[in-house]
Amino acid sequence: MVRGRAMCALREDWPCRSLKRLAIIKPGQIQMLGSGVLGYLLAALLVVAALIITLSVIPERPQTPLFFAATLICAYVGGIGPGLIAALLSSLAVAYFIVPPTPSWNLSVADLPLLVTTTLSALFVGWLAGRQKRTDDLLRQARDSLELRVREQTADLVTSHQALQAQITESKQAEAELRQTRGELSRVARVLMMGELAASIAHEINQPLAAIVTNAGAGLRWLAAATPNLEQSRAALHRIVRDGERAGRVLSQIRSLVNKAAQARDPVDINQLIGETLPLLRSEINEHQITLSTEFATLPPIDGDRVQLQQVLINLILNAIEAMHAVSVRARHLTICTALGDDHLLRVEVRDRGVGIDPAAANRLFETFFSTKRRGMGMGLSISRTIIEAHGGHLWAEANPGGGAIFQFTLPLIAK
Amino acid sequence: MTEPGEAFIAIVDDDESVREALESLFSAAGYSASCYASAEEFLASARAKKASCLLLDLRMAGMSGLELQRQLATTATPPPIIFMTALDDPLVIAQARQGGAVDFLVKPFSEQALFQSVQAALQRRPRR
Repeated sequence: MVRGRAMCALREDWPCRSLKRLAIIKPGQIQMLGSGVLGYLLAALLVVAALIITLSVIPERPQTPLFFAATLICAYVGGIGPGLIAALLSSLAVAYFIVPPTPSWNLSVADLPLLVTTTLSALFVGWLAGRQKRTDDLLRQARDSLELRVREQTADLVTSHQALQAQITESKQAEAELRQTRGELSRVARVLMMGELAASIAHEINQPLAAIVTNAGAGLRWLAAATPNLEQSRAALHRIVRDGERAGRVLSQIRSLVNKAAQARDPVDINQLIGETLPLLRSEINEHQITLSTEFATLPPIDGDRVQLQQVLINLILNAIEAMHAVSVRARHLTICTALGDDHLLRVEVRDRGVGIDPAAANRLFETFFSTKRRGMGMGLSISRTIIEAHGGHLWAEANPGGGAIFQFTLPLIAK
Repeated sequence: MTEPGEAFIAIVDDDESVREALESLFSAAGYSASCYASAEEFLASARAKKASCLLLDLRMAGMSGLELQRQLATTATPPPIIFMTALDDPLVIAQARQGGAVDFLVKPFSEQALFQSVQAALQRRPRR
């Protein structure tokens, strides 16, 4: 690379530079003929050329301008050194060939001013041009070194860019895997919630079953008595029918929970739904010795997915129960209220008197994977909020004055 | 074998179906039985204290079966207790047995198991 060579040329000593300069010289690289032997030769050449031209073109009245030109060119191309030499040679040439009498070294005093001014001017011109050359050289050097640095940094940038691209690809892959895992977790969470439900459901079925078996046994005994008691055995059979129907209702609720029909939208009576949900959680309520109260307003039906809304209710109620698990300073009251709000909304509140909401965690309650429970997975509230918002409502939490929390959600009424 | 006519069985369960069925069964078998919808109701009743044996549900609203067992243990002559439960939690079962229960019946239980437990309980009761 010629530029590379030029870079070296500026820093190395002059013999090498001269040798290198014997190589290809491109147009515009004439400045690269820097100071060196060639520079001084050039000085001599240019002065001689100026002399010849001056003498041949205007022999009668030789003038000095061409010598200035020669000095200027020489200084600019060759540097200050050759430039000054050219200036001196020019002076000599002028003195010998131009100042009368010519050609000789005999000079009269009257000619001295001309000679002196000529010499000084030439020297000055040479010095100026030399300086200019120096400046230009430095500028070029700076430009070249800048170019080199830019190229180096560009190479660095390209490398970083490639590394970044690789990282982005990795990150996208990780994101895709995360999405998949979340999907699985969401299913697992659903199943776990179902597990909590399953225990309640088993309880709900075993009660009527036990009653049915016992009633049947009683009925048989009444009939087997010395005098068969038909009335009592009939009563027992009636009870069997009633309890069998109760078990059937629990089973159909299970079926509807397990049914994965997405986004079913049917008219739902929220009060009735709450009424059906509470027995499913009775064992939890009893085990934790919760006092449950409900305040239901008269509500029109809303459009919703019964299964999903029940899931939300279960989540909120279980959270409330768990929040009160650690509390013994006050009674464990769980209150569920429904009310009609303005703006065609209904509102459901689940109030507990548990440990309350930690202000530090308040903003993150509904985040996925955020949980204050030791073994909590942090899916419940996030899923619940998603469900409520999909129904066009809002789910939020407030502190319960006096201790505990109030979780409430709104749902839009069926527009008429 | 203790005569059924002498025994008075207290049934404590918050599920109405279970209460009614058990009362009818004991009646048909010749036992005298009284039902109580909660542990509190049992404790408040004067007659309940004369029970020869207690058929007690584990999980109830308010006071649980285990809690009632603990309270009765502090009295002079606690009645023998047979626990019932609709849930099959081994941890809870162990806890109940530790408290000195005669037996543990998981719903739905057979008549045979029930009467076996009742007989065992009646044999345990202190003679007056």
